[in-house]
Amino acid sequence: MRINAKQLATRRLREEAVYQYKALRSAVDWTVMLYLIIPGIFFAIIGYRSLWTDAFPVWIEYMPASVVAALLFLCARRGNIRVLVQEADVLFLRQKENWAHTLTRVGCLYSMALDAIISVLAYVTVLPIGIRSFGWTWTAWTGLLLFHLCYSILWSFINNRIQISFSGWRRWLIKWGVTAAGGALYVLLALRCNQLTWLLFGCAVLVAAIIVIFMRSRIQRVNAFEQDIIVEGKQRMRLTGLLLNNTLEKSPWFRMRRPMLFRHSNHVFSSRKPHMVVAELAIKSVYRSNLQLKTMLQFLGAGLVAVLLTPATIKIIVYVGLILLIWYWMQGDWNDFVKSAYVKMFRWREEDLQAAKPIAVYGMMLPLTLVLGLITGLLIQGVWGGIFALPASALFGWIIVQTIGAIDIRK
Amino acid sequence: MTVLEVDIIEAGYEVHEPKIHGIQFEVKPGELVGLIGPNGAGKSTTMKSLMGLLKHCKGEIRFTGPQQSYGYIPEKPIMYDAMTLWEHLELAAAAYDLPVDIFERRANEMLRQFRLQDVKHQLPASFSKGMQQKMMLVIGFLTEPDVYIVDEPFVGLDPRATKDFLRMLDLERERGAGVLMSTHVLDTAERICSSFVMVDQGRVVASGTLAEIQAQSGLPDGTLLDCFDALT
Repeated sequence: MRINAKQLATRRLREEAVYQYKALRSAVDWTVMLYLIIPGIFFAIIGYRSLWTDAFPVWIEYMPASVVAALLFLCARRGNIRVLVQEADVLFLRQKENWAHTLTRVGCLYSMALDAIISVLAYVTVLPIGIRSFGWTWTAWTGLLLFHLCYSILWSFINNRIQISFSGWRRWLIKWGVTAAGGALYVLLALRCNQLTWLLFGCAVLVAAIIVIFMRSRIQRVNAFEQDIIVEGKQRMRLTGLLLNNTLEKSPWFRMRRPMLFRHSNHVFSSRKPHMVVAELAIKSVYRSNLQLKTMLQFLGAGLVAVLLTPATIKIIVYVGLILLIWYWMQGDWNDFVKSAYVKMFRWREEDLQAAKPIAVYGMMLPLTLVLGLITGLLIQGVWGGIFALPASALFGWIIVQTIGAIDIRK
Repeated sequence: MTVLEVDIIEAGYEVHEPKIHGIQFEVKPGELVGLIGPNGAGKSTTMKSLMGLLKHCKGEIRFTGPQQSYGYIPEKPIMYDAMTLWEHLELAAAAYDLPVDIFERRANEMLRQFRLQDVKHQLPASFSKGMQQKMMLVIGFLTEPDVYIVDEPFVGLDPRATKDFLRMLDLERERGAGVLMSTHVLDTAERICSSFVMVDQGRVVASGTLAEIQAQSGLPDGTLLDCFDALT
């Protein structure tokens, strides 16, 4: 039997659900999760019940209503519109405009349903705080929920329109301009919901009317196929991207022509012997990578907390452990560099790569080694400790790469 | 005298699944050998075997030129996101231990030739596909190797860059370099290659000059395309 447009749309939604489930399953061990999810649900129910019956924890009592309103607004601006198109549709499906309309319509309804579910969940969660702490009336809460729901759907349409119509800095500017204006309006209404309850209902009706216009326009707009494919791809990869947030380099929204560091291909080492050139370029590659810099900052933050929280006698052991971890990590980065497709294009003399390795790994380790050493020294022995720790850390790092660094444990 | 001698008994990506068998040919100084064949014939596997990129390769590959070196020009640009064009060239020069003065002279000459001088301190990841392909040509020509291994060179190049590329290739052949070029553009291959190795289903089905290929395919006046059609 021939498939029709509605069936195709349903099939794509089903495939989407299977894809997202598989993405989740690949990153999560269900046996372990079972031990976390079941007690998690249990404690969440107990915790929610206690929000209605017991006294609030102090942090909730002191939390300003504007913070809750801002969080609810962030929840409202998370959405986008799915149009269920795929790249291969260009082959024949684009010629059937009514099919494209149906796919878009089903995609819009799916996105709106998703927005509605998330809106209700968010408002049910904050309900006890709103009623007991901020003094919301039930009518005000209902008005806020309705307004939030419509606002959230409208944002999804606006977000989609911005993404398919603009690029680069214009997109960034418009998106954040709309966010700032919309956020201010939202927080203002949420904070005065008891006084402006009927205005909230009115705004919800007005926003609903605007949604109808946006939805009709979105369904009719079949000439944005290329942009739709990009937006759909991003939506599809959203969960996967979240799960792999710290392992994959994101494609930058703005690609720089020149690097931020060493903008004129400046040299780090004056020697231009092959092993020094290789080491230099491996070091530059690490410091020019956003992902690497982000991970380094995260590591530095965690490392500083570990050094701060431990007693003085243990601090040095923690410091040594952290430096060994950094060495292990940078050794892996060096291996990735020499195993990359570009390096493999050439025939290398083994002795050049062997000579480059300790210099490159040391260069990659040095900033983190020095900062952690400085802080550890300052915490143990004050200013003089810090001053002594700088050269001592530099020497310690060098000893590591020259001794245990000679053994390639990640080969 | 040769610059490359190939005698691959079998090679592939898995131990017991060879993709190519009995590939034998040689490249002489100044010779341009066209490696041709349909999709999936084993051209890429052959190229990867030559560069030692396959774990499972039985046979002998000998670079027999004076420097025993090769330059590889890939079909798709290969690069680092975080290195400038000049730094890519520096890394290539380091691999061949090219003296700094010679490297700088040749690199600047090549960049001027391919009109990339103004972007040498920019990140190639921000270049157009054509510019990235030109960068691959510059890297390939930079080290003046004994033999060039060129994979589908005409994809992504504009007519002027194609002309520049062919002119550079002629100059390098005059210097004594050999060229092994994998391509699907048979009319250009027929015009510029001095001999051919035609592969199909992982085996050599014909090799030699155009006249020899015509004889092997039974089409004495046939074009390379006709011979290709008859033999594969």
